[in-house]
Amino acid sequence: MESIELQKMVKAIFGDPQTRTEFVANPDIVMSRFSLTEAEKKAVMNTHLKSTMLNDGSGQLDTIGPLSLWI
Amino acid sequence: MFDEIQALKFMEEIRTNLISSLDDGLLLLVEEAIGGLKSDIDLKSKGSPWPLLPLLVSEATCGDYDRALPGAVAIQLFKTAAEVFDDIEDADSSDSIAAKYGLAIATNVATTLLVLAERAIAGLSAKGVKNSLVVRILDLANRYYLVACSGQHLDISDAPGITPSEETYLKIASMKSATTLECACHVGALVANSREELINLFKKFGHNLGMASQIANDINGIISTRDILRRKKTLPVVYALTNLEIEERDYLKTDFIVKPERVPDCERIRELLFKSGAIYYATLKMGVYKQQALDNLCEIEKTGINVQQLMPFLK
Repeated sequence: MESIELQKMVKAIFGDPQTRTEFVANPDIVMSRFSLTEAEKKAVMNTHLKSTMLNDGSGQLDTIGPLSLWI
Repeated sequence: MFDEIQALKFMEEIRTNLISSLDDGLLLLVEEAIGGLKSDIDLKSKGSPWPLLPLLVSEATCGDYDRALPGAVAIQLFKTAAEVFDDIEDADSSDSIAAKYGLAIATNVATTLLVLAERAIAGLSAKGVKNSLVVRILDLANRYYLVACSGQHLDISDAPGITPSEETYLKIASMKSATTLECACHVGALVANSREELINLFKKFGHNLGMASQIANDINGIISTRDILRRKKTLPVVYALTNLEIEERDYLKTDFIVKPERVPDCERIRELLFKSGAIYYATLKMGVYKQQALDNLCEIEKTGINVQQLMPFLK
């Protein structure tokens, strides 16, 4: 199923530096503005813990644990 | 946790199915087509041996995996046949059987793999599986792969000038890719004589695992630029085409949709997909399916099944 609210959240994070800063510091606050499903919220928190993509903008994915097994 | 004995028995089951029925020339090509199989179940290099999934489901359910061996082999042979046909249809891989030996030989190899897969299912009866169940497994395997064919048809008949929706992408991924792992789990659970409730949970687990796997593959396709060169409209591209600002969206549209003859600037497109959040979105989406698969495993565990052998697939 298409995740409209998740798309909106990602667009907000990557489109607005303030929202990005807020999300890095406290993802719960940003997530609460969107109607995410429980699975989506868990996925956001799991990825947030493992990813450094937002922080350094390097675009490197090798810090995300699950993918290294699958790629 | 799977062990080397399972992997060795799996490979031996494949050799038994192959050696007795093919002449040398065709045998070499069929072995080449399934050549990637050995690396898939190399215990030293990877943690998640996909081809062994039916065995792991069967063992988790009833403590035995031997009965499921022919079923696991059949699924792998069906999958390999689909990959050979896919390479013929996409015509974008220089190291495929089709590229190296021509369409006629590749078609014959894929056909042979299909027939070997059907024979492998018949081999279930030699493992003590009732004939009625063998017929049921044969029917469901064929049904799954018909769904995969329908998914492939949707994929290759995609109108070049149309921007795909996420809904369409997910539908194709579900039909083409998720069905394989769903089938693998379904067969494993059936051979283990699971009750319907448990079979349905394993099917959902396999399906969610398959969706996550496909999205992971698509993310890798961007990182490696493989799918950028092939202009595949995978999830990161679909997200970007929907959510980028006008200027960047038009640039991406031109490269992927309007002017396919233009050589894409892979580095620029890859950077665009990272910076726009497209890769991040796809990563989250993959995470959603993995979470759903984990929820399915938790439900299975509540029925008394030890799911530890399946957890490595969700690490």
